[in-house]
Amino acid sequence: MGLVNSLLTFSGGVQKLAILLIVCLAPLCLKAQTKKPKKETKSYKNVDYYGFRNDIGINVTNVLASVFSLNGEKDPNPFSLIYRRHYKRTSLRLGTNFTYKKTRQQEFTSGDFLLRDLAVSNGSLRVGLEKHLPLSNKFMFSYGFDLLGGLSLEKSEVTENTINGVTNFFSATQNAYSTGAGPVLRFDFKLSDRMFLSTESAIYATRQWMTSSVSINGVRSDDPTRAGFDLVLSLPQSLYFNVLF
Amino acid sequence: MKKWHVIQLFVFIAVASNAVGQQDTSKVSVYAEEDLYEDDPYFWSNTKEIGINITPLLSRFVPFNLGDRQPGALGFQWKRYYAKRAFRFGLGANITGFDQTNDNRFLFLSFGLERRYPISKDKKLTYSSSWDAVLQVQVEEEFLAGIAKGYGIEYHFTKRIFAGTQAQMILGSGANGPHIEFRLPTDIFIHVRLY
Repeated sequence: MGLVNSLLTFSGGVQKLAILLIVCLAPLCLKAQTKKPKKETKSYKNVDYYGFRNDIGINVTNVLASVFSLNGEKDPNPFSLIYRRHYKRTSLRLGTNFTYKKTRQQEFTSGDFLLRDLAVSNGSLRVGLEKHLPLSNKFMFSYGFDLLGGLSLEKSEVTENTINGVTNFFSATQNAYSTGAGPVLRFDFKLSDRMFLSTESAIYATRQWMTSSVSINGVRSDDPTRAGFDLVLSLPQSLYFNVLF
Repeated sequence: MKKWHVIQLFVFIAVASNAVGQQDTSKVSVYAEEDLYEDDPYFWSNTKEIGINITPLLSRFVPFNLGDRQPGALGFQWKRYYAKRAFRFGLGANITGFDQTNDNRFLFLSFGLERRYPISKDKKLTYSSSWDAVLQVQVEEEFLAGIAKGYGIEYHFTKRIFAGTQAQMILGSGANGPHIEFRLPTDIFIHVRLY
């Protein structure tokens, strides 16, 4: 009001000059307002979307497909469980899957007694970093880079006791190792503050080695080591259900 | 004199209200969806786009086809849009030196130009026309090199996310002579626009 009073107390030529100035400036202000105001953006932080420091995700592709009887094919994705730790703008990502199975079977064939033992171990691990690009308050796009490692150990033993009292022992082992790296892209869709769905696509370059050996009654023979290089663009085919904590 | 005071007061209120109005319109957001250049003809001008083939995921949950459908060779697309046209790059790969029994080994590369046209007034529904140079190396079918004329259709959910598919007519040369193929739209891509 002080400014208004001071304007109102102007007199004569000064007063007219002031009015002239204001009248000239007013259209400029109006013109400025008609221009689309630029949306102010602040730099993104993980807390804006995720809200929590950790999230854990489980591959629910098979269970959903089974429950709704949609597709009987098993999901080939090697990572069943994923974990992420969110920092200010980047996230650490881990993924793993492991199985261990040991079976024993007994058979009688033509008077011979067979005992079959099979032990299978599989494990895979990935470690990576990712950055995020929020698309909306529901959708998040992330890009990152992973390092991979995996192993598969298989040992089969057969003990044969013949009707003549002779015992034969057969053993076969096959070990495979792999290591690799590659970029990854990821989509998140937020269901609530603590839950979201996600899917991923990656192009992994991997190097694999496989050794195998056979032993018959204690005489062992090793096969030469096989090695190979793979480059696979894996498209999104798994759906993860994630929980933030 | 009183008339001058009234005019003065009126103009001052108008200017002040303008200033207050301008302060209210600014909004802080982390989702920068707006166009950066007001002179661009389309909202996709001067942007980059990343597309991923999501057919394998969709085929697991959409029960129109109860089999596990094999996606096409193209898995990933990258586009750089200028004012009206884009340079685009496509990649698909399943190269395995370890498992020689895998019959689905291939490498797909494409480079080309694309132009997008709006169909609907709000520009959410668009179609695109493209020319690509294509190279595909595949086990048993050996190789294909040629040019592809493509037409695609896209739907923009937001300015950042859109889905699309495309059909292509490929004219080229294969291991056994000329190769002409019409590829129907079978894959759904999800694209993300980067500003």
